[in-house]
Formats: sequence, C-alpha cells, structure tokens
Amino acid sequence: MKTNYYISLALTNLLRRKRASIVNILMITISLTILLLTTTLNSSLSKYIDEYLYNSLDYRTLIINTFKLQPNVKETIVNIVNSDDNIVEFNEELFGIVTEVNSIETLNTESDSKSNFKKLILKSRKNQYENIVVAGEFFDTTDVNVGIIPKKFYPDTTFQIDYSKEKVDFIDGESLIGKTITLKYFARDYSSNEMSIIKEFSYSFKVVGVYDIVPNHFYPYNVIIPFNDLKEIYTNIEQHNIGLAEDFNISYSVIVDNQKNVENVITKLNNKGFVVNRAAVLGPIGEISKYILYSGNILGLIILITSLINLTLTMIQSMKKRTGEIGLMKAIGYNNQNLTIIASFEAVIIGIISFIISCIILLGFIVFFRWGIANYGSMYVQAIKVRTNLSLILQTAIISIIVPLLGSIYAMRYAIKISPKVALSKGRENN
Amino acid sequence: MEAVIVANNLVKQFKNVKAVNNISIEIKKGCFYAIMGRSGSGKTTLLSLLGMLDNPTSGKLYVNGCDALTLEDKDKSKIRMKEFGFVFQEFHLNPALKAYENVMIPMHINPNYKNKNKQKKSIELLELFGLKERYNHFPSQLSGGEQQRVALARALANDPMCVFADEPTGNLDVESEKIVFDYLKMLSKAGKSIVVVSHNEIVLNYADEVFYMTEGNLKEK
Ligand SMILES: Nc1ncnc2c1ncn2[C@@H]1O[C@H](COP(=O)(O)OP(=O)(O)OP(=O)(O)O)[C@@H](O)[C@H]1O
Ligand SMILES: [Mg+2]
Repeated sequence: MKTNYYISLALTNLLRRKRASIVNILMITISLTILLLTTTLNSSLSKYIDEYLYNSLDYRTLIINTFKLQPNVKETIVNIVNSDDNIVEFNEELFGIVTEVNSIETLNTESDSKSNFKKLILKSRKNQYENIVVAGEFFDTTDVNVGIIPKKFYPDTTFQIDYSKEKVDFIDGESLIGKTITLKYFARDYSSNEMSIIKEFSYSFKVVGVYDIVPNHFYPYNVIIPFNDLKEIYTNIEQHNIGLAEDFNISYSVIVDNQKNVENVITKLNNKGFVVNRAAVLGPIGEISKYILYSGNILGLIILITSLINLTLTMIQSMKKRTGEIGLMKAIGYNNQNLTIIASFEAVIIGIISFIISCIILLGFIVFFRWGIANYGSMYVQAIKVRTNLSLILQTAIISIIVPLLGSIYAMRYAIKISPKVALSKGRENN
Repeated sequence: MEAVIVANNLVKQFKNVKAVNNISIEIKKGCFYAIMGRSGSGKTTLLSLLGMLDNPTSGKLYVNGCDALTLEDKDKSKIRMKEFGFVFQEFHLNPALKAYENVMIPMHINPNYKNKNKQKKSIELLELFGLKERYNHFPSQLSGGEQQRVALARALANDPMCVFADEPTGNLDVESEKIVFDYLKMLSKAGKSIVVVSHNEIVLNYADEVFYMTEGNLKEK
C-alpha cells in the first residue's frame, strides 16, 4: 500500500532532522500534556463539585431570617412556596445546637482522650435527611431520644475540614449503633461577661443509624436527632436564657429541587423583602477548579502556539534543504498531491507521537494523583475521582493532528511552488 | 520510424537571453540522440523543454501525438512518471534512503507496480550498473560515480519510453562511462529513445543522430 510508503518516507525524513524533530515533538507534547492535564483535573473537580457539593442538600437549602414582630410572615412565605414548583420543602429552621458530651456508652470519654470527645452539634430539619443513612436506619418523626451519627464520628467541634489527611482517629460510628450517648447543654446569662451558666440540662439519645458526611458536606461532629427533640431543647434554653432580645428571630428553610434554580428562588424571596442565605456555599474548591482550567488552558495554548510556529519554521527549513530532491521527485512524476501528502504525513506523525507520549504522561499523572489523594487527602478530598474522559482525549487527539497540519501548510505551499526544473540545475534558483 | 516526441519552433526566452531559439526536432522510437555544444549554448534548457520540466515561451510540443503544452500539471506529471526517465548532473539522491530505496522512489507512484516486485526490480537495475554488492548502502557510502549510477538506475525504474540524460557520465571513470553508454545503447536497440547531452566525445560512438547547439540554435551534424 502507498500509505506504508508515505509513512516510512515521512519517518525517514523526520529522522534526517532528528534534533529538530525531537524539539517539535517535545514542544507539542508539553502543550498537549498541559491541556490534557488541566482539562482532566478540571473535569474531575467539576464532577466532584456537581456530585458532592451542588447536589448536597445544604447547597440547595435557603435560610430565611424573619422577626417575630413581622406580621403574617409565615403566610407570605407559604404563599411563595406554594406558587413555586421549584421549592420542594418548607420548614421552620432550627440551627444546630452545640452540646457537651457527657458520656458515650462503651467508650470511656474521660480517659480515652481528654481533649477530644468534648462537643458535638445537634441538627435537625423536619424530614429532609431521610435518605442519607448508610447503615442502620433513620428514625420516625414521632420517635424521641434517637439520633444518627457520622459513620466517621468525631465529637469535637474544633475539627476543621482540610485538604490533607485528618490526623485524628475517628470513632467507627457503626460500632455505636444501639448505644446511648448522653449530652449536656446550658441556659446562660448572656448579659454577663462570662456568659455564666444558669441551668444545666441533659439529653441522651440512642444511635439508630449512621450517615456519610462527605456527600452531605457535614462535619464528623454533626448528629441528627428528631425535630421535636431539638425543638424541646430550644424551648428549654429559651425559657431560661437571660439577656437576649425578645423579638428573637424565627428562621425558615426552603429546599430547592435543583441547584440551577437556587438563584431564581433567592431573587424571588429577596423581592418580597426577605433576607435569604444559603445553608452552604461553595468554598475555595470552585475557584481552584476554575483557576486550574483557565491558567492551564492559557499556558497550554501559549506553548501550543509557540510549538506551531516552531514546527512551521522547522518544516520550511527542511523543505528548503530538500529543494533539489523535491524538484527531482517532481521531475520523475510526483504531483502536488503526492508532495502534499508527504509533507502532511511528516506533520501528522509528529502530532501522533506527541499525542501518544502525552497520553502516557497523563496516565502517569493520574496514577500519581490518585496515589497522593488516597494517601494524603482528607476524606473530602478522597471523594475526588481523578479521571479523564473520552471526549477530552478525542479533543486532544484532534488538536494533535490539526496543529501539525497547520504547521505544515507553509511547507506544503513551498513544496508546491518548487519547479521540477530545479532538478536540472546545480546552484540555479528556479524562476 | 515512429516519432515519440515532436517539437515545433520551440523558443525559450530568459529576460534578455534566448536560450532556445526556434528549435524543431523529432525524437523517434529506438533512436539514440546526442546533443553537444559549448557551455551556455542552451542544451539543458532544450532538454527541460523536451522533458516537459519547463514550458517554452512559444512553440509546440507533442508527446505520443498529444499536445503536451495544453495538459494540466497533474497529467504532465503522469507522462513524466510513465514515459520519461531523467538523469541529471546533480543526482538528488535522498541521503536517508539506501541505494535500492532511492531506485524505488519512482516506482511508488506507479500503479503498475506490485509491492513485492519493487525491491527485486530495483536491485536488478543496480546489478546492471555493477552495484549489486552496494544496493544496501546509503548515498554517503558511495563514490560520486556510484551515486550517478544509482541515479541512472532510478531513471529506468518505471521502464520509460524515453530517457533524457544531462551529462550522465560527468562523474564517471572511463570504465563506468562505458557501462552506462553500453546500457543506454542497449535500451535504444530495445526500442527506447535516448537523448543525451554530453561534452564527452565518446558519445559519438553510440549516437544515431548528433546535434550541435550554438547560442540556442540546433544544427544536425
Ligand atoms: N533560469 C534561468 N534564468 C536566466 N537565464 C537562464 C536560466 N536558465 C538558463 N539560463 C541561461 O540560458 C542559457 C543556456 O543555459 P543552459 O543551462 O541551457 O546551457 P547548457 O548548454 O546546458 O550549459 P552547460 O554545458 O554549462 O550545462 C545560458 O546563457 C544561461 O545563463
Ligand atoms: Mg547544462
């Protein structure tokens, strides 16, 4: 087949300018690798953000703060909620309450680790957490003194979400199913400087199930208890607290069906005069992801353009060197189409080699990233699956062919212009 | 005898030089032509016109009875590939290809060749010019004379009907010269047309017709 000939001729010609070919391949490889790498990282992060952050309940939950003295507040909100198909739930919002851990059945909280196991936060919403249980079961709304805890449980509110692997020993939440945890909480005098304790209360609950904190973007110290239990705790505290304003806020929460509709709902509520906050916002990870994409693409494109220019120059120089040879080929019957194919094969082979090398490098990076994340990433980071996808690979493959072809256009035009007559003359230029 | 190429009143004008001045010539089948003349007399230019490597300023050229000057570039290429063989002063061998691979270059665009035959045929051609042992060498490993013979073998690769040679023996020793001319003579006896430009008087022993060029004019001896 002729193709074989073109390929072998292209390879021989590339080997004739070994150093230039290596530089061409190197530059294109670098730019392709950067493009592949940044798009891969960005798509992995975007997927993570979509699946774990945007999709989490809190990201779609809006908190509406109102004043007790405001008239018909609830009715107004209910009207909005009923008229909007995108709002799937509406509840009174009870914010999480910090409690101190008294005891955890079977664990000796005093001696195990003095500084840890101090505080956890009780959370509840009327019925929106139901499907988050991964082991055990969720409680009924009428149940009392039950709770679900994180699978990786760490009752210490000083815990911070970080990128690097947590340096703490989590308690296996599943091992506590059926066990009872006892907590204490306080009413305080907020007018005093040290916010002194007025009254101590106790609350205990039986662990009935565990949930995964990562997809919900919770903390290892968040415990979910029945709404009525939390409401009672609120009442106890409010009754005895001193020094807080009488027109204490009531907050409501609405859940939007899809994160795409969240902005619309916020605008709608704002227009009715409500102050609205998201229950959760996208942290720096969204910025990081964008930053990687933009800076990577810009860098990749700059290098790509440089390598395009470099390749163009190399190919023209090589064609000029081969003027006599090409003139001879024309004299013995090679037509412009044949010569165009020869030039484009040289270019495409450079592209294909660069593409293959960059895919191998990408594979190495993916393996490296996965290893790093598995060994050094926090549990949140571990939810990031670094993987590329076929469309990115295909895009890059197309770039790897098109760019060298562009780079060979000038060389082709030069080759086409060469007259077969130049084969006849030694030093004489064709006219 | 049948005329393969017919040229009528060919003129080639370079700025103020008339390199070919109103030349008419017929190249017949099985005939060996020698064109001699001083340097700068227009021999190479005439050859380039006859071989369809360049267009004349005016005149007519017929190849196999067909008006060659009205053809498109692509069809001209086809005629050169199938019907013509060229040997130039400069060999223009591809330095990255071995001798036999260089000989194969014209075969690759010839659809009549089967892949298997190409290598065999090219080695046979090299053998004819005494390069059997050297078929596997790169041009840089060959002497100037040997390179010229590789170029000759390449000119014959597609079994052309007419061979144009510009100083084909310029780099050869007497013995190699004889091999080349003997072979060209044999080809002409086998029905091919041979057009040789040469300063070398030996060509007179082989030529059926000898022309002299002076300042663009052709005269038969
Ligand atoms: N491309 C060109 N541009 C301008 N003048 C040219 C060109 N080609 C040839 N000539 C001129 O035409 C004339 C004939 O040149 P040509 O090469 O045909 O001579 P030649 O007989 O082959 O000489 P030699 O024996 O030295 O090879 C010369 O005067 C040469 O300078
Ligand atoms: Mg000449």
